[in-house]
Amino acid sequence: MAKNTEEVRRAIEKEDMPMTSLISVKMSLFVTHGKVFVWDTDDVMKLREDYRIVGNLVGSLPRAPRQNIQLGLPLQLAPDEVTLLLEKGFCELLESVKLSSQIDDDRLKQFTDMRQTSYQQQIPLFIGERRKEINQHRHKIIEGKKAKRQKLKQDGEHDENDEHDSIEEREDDFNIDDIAIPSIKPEQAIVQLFTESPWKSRMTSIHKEWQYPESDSDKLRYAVFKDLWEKKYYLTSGTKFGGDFLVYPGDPALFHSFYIAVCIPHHDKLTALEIVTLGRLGATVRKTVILCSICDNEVYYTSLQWTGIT
Amino acid sequence: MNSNIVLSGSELFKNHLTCDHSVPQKGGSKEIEFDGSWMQAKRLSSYYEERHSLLKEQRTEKLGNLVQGIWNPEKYLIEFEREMGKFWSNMGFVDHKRKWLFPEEALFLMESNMLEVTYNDIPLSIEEAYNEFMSHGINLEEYQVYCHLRRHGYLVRRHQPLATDYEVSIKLNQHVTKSRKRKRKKKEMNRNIDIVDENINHITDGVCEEGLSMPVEKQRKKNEEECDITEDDDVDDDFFVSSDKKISSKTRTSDICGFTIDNNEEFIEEGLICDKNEKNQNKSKQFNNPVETEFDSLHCDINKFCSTKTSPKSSLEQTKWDFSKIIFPNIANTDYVTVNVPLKQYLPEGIRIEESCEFNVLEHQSKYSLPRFDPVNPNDKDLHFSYADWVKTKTTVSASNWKEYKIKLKKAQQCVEKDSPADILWQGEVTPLTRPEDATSAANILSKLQVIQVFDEEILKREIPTELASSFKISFDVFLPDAKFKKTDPGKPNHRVCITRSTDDVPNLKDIHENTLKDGVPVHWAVLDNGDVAFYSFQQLNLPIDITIG
Repeated sequence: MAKNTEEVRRAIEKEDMPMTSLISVKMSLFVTHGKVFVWDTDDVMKLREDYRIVGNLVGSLPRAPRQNIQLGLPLQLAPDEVTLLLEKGFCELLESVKLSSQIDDDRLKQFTDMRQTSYQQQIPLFIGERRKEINQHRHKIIEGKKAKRQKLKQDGEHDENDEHDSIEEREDDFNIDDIAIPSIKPEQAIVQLFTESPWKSRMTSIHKEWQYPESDSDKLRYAVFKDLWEKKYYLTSGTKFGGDFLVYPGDPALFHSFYIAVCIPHHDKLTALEIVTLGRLGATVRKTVILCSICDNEVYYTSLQWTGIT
Repeated sequence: MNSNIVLSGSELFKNHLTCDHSVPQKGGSKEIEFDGSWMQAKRLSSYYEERHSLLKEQRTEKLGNLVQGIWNPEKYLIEFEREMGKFWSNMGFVDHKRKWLFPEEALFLMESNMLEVTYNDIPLSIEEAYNEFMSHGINLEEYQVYCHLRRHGYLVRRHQPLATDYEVSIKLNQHVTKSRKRKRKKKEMNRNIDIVDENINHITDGVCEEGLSMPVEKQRKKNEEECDITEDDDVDDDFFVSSDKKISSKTRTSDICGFTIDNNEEFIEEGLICDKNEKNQNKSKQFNNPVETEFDSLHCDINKFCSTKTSPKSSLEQTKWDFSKIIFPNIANTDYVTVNVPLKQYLPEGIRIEESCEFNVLEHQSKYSLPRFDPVNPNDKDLHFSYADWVKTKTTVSASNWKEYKIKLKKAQQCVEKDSPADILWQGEVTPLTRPEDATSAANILSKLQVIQVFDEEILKREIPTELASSFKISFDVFLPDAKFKKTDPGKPNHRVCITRSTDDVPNLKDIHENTLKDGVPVHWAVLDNGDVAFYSFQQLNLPIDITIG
């Protein structure tokens, strides 16, 4: 049900309908020790697909936790991304409340009930699965029983007639439904390890102290980020290539970035060497370096090109 | 509870049964231009679908496979009752018979589907753990680096204070941990005294077996062993250190040993010391160990050593040893040494020594010293040496102490220089950079020609303004994966890691070098940018020196 509405919403948004009229509840971003995280899968998808906010997955992937190639939730957002989302009114910033040291009986009851119900639900499933397994290996089991009897007979050197054998052979066959399969113990039950807190609604308060950008260099950074984002680009952190941002024409998973944005205050003095350094950097990674600065609240871009004339 | 997140029993069962542990590919090949084509839209939507289903996957595990831990918010640690799985071999620690995990270790295990941490009997989600665990002793950046390295398979421990190579070589690092244990248990202390007594017996046994000459030597050695300072080290250091400092180091050692070692030993050597000295200096440069720091570290080692030793020392005093009354004979410049009768209290019962004993030093020396080159000796006669002429003319210098020796040697060399036919070269304004007597080895000449100093010495001496004195902190020790790894005795780490954010200041080169120089373990610098981790290391580069003439 939830998925259907989600699809409908996405379809509508693609037709450039105003989003605010449809979504009354803002997406939640969570502040933890000064960093901002998103814990909900749908929110992570929505940020990327609808708002072109890429962020950075930092958690271990549930199915393969010990590798760094593909990471999982949570998604960490850069301060620029957070400020933009807040400014555009897409999100609200929440702060987790410290766990209370008081024992919450209500919560404890909910939790134990949940585990218990889950365990009870799993018992018939486990038994069914076991039956299926036995059935799959049915002929092997019969074979084994026969071999065992044969061995016993040889060891004891009993002389039995063939008739008796056929009776025993019939005895070897069994009806699966008749076999009593012991029910599973609680520790054999599968449990869920929660990545996102299942108690969210109760543990959050609105965070009011978000104050990025504060310094002049941060203000410049944010102005550039916002301007490029509004020009429909996707932006990620530029540290990999020694700039402030990497600018992508489409989703970073499918497209190469073509700009390295470097924020430089308007009146900063640059030496020729610094320009050459940036130009060479861009040339080696086949990207264009753009110098970004603001003057009278307007962002100016200057691209660098190494002419190649020697 | 949020019903969107909690899986039902059947969902859990299905999930666990059909669990795929492969790592999916990322995106695939990238395109350069956005053309708005149907193909691109299709690719994008399938990518999003795949990503969505991947991120939606929940962590599921059999309850019996999970280790249970309890969050202790007062201590900022996770306590757990039973240990399970391999992780205990390289994680956590034991204290007062309770088993603890550090928060970063617990959170990593939670993310790896191995641990369930409860608080007030309710398991914490990873989100809650991020909130609770990262506020004390460790911050989020450090956790992200920890996790990154762990996911790669490295073994990561919180940084332990450095032990220098020297400390390790004399097993001082082990000693410190042992002495801490001793403080805890008084019984062990008593046993320690017993061991010392045994040593005394051992020494005095030697007295009757080998005569009176040896025990003195042996006793001295024993004591030096107890102090963990070998004589070889001592001598080597003397070559490094200027004469004033040398004496101080000597007296220091003698203080510890409880002996008064005579400094009036005569050095009779033929220019060898000079050569060795230079060689050593070159060596020290190669190892990037400036003479001073080496000496200083020795100094502080000794100081540390004294402080750690104090408690056993006080116990030693109870064992009747009065070192001021044990006289060490001076064997220099004499043919015979008289060893007096040791005090009766130092001897084991039933052993009596009536009279003082004489010991022939020369005889002993001739017995144990190696034969020297002797031109009269028929065996050595035919040997030819390709020394420069001035080497042969070098005079023998004798002095009563090190300082005097150096002065005399310098004078003697000056005499030689005057005789050199190349002397004329030094009469003008422009003089050659090297002197003929420098030609002891190619390395020596090259070191003389090295006008630019190796930079680390300079950088280490430089004072940092106090406001810049950064909060440099090494966060983790990193070990290569090893099945034999023991967390109680991890040994020397393979790497160390310090951490900064991309907006922070760069760590001071001095800090990094000082830490690297102590025991040669490289310090890596992790730069964090909103969860992205990149490692850098600053390495000193010595420009290669070509040696063409051997």
